[in-house]
Amino acid sequence: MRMFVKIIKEKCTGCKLCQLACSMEKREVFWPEKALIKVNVDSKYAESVPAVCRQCKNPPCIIACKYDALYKDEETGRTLLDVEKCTGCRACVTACPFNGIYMDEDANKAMKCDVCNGEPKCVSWCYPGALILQTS
Amino acid sequence: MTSVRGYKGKVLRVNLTTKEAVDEPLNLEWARKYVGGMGLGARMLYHEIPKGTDPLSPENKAIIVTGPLTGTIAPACGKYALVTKSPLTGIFLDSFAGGYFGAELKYAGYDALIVEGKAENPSYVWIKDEKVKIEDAESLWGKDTHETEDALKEKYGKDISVLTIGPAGENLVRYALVNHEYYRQHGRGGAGAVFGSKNLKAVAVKGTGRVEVADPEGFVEAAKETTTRHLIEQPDSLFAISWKDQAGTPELSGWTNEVGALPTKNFQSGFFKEMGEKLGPEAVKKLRVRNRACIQCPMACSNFLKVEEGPYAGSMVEGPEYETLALLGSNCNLSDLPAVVALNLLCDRMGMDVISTGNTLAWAMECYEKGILSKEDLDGVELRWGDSEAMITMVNKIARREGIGDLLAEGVKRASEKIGKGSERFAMQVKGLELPAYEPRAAISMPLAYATADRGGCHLRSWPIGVEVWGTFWLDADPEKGEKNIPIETERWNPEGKAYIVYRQQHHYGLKFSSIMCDFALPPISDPIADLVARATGWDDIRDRRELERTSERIINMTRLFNVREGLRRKDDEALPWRIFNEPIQDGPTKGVQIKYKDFKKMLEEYYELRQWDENGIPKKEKLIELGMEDLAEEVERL
Repeated sequence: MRMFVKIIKEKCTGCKLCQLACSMEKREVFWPEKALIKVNVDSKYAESVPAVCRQCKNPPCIIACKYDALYKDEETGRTLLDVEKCTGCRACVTACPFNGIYMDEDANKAMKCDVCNGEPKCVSWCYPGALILQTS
Repeated sequence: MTSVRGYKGKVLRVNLTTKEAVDEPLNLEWARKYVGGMGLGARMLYHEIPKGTDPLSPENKAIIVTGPLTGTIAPACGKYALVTKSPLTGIFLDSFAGGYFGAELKYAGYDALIVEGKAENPSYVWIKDEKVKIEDAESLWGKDTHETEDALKEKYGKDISVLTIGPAGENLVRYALVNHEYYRQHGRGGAGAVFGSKNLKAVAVKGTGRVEVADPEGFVEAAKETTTRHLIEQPDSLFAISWKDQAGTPELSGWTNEVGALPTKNFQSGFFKEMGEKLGPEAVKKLRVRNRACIQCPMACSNFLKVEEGPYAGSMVEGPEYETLALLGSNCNLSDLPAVVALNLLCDRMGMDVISTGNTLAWAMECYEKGILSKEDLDGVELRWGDSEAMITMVNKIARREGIGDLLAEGVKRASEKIGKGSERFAMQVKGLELPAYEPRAAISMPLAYATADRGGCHLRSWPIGVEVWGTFWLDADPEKGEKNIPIETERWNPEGKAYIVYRQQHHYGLKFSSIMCDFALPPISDPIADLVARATGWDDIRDRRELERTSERIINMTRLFNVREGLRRKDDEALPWRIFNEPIQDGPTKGVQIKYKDFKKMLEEYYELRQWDENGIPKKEKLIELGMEDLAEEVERL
């Protein structure tokens, strides 16, 4: 099984409600910088592209992590992070080709999407339909 | 109060003369009384600049103000205000833009930014969280808004937010705008000229901080409820327009044309027969590439258009909005959508308000038609109705104040006073602000709405034409009359009760633009906004109907006080365009209609009475005390 937030970038309008919803869910504040999903906007050409962990089958981040801080959740296929084990070495961030895992510079730890245990808040706030919860 | 959630509690003051930037605490007492945006901005501006300040002098200030909902998940609350004394009207100006800047400023740590003084050389301000720098902008001076934004994003990254002026702002065009995010504008009233007068080319900001609210769980729940109930599904809205899935504001053009309210040929007519097919929502949809949103907005009402063929192929713009289609389109007798797109883009890049530009060009076209301005006066340009190439030439001249452009850059009030020969009679402005796209004779209440709008000829202080033409509309519950929000029934062309509608709608807009929520959100009722403000700040009593009404009324009295201090009186409210009372509409469903001056006067008197302002339009001392404005009540008798 693979559970992940699927991106349909053509539908993204650049409202960033996903980032606001994510930061509130994870941090209880509105803090887009700490969101586990990012929307990269190029307004000049009306382009906005969300980036979030794809929960890959063979994740480069897990392969890159030397401290076993990243692992697969067998049941849902999500890639999860054990914050205790993370040393902040950034190997995972460098390894990810999709800009799907980030550094929390204040904590010096990696941070990533866990699909909100199957009820992703970003999806529930995405009214244009650019984000979809996918289970395959 | 030492700190309040929803606010950052800090104001950044940048002095361009001394090159100093300092952090100051936000005045929380003012925040409590005036909330943010329009209200708080008015209170700050009143304090910051003395009476009689020349809008284009270093003594004027540009204040960017957010609100307690900015940067949160509250839907359609990404807009923020730029408050200053207008070089076009000489009175209060608040001008709102969407995009990302307001939220970004809050993430950087500030509720507001005050820019004062004048830089010796062209400069820009760069704010990275709480680190502030005033940088040299010599190489940016002369560049258009898009080139300037490109250069700053190249230097600091694409994720920064930028405000910039174009050549029009540098050349002190009185309706120059401040541009943001390429296609977003602080459009009205000439804030761009204020930037230009300060040698301020741009302000760029990047914030990495947070916004906290008092009741996170309740806030998110209320935001969700507001989103689904009022913005997306709108089950109990009487708004005929659901912004989502439609063409956004261009939808309005069909309606205003149908009811004879679409400004055409410099407000000679309220009907443009080519509107629907050529400039209407379907035509817009054909050129639409995709929808765009401001931060926090689930509706995404903005259309990104690209012209694929013809002489304007390659033109890309977010827009044209309804106001642009009307003022640069029907009002100039231009029915070519690609040409309107090209003109819209040119105005954005030069940094000029499309409403004032379209209105001014239409006035000049009528002058040309009537022989008041000759081909020679117009530097050899034959400024005929609907000639898009001539219009493009004129926009370029205005932006650079070249030849006739120098006169037209002054706006229709000053230009017509200078030219004379009866051209003042069809200068369609109120207090110097060129009228927007609602023909004032098409609804008996619109002249009153324009006359009493605090920034001059503006449709966003009250919008009674909606009530009048649809015949039924929501108004906030009157705390004196009961607790339920009421759909109000009214009769078109009857002045009875119209002053009351203008008066009550102004309260709604006052609260909305102070909180700050976009005009396009919600049926026009205030309770959901107040609920979000309460949950953000913890000020629970603002939900109370009486307290809410009092707050709204206080905001309206604050902007009025600013204007009264500048010398504005009843005679200024009465000074509406001659055409409204003396010429009937020439074509369409409202053909033959004109407004009787005595009806307008009666409504204005009723309005003053409702406001408890004296017969000269000055707020009474007792009223100010009742509204908790004791600090200003003493002063009012000396103004």
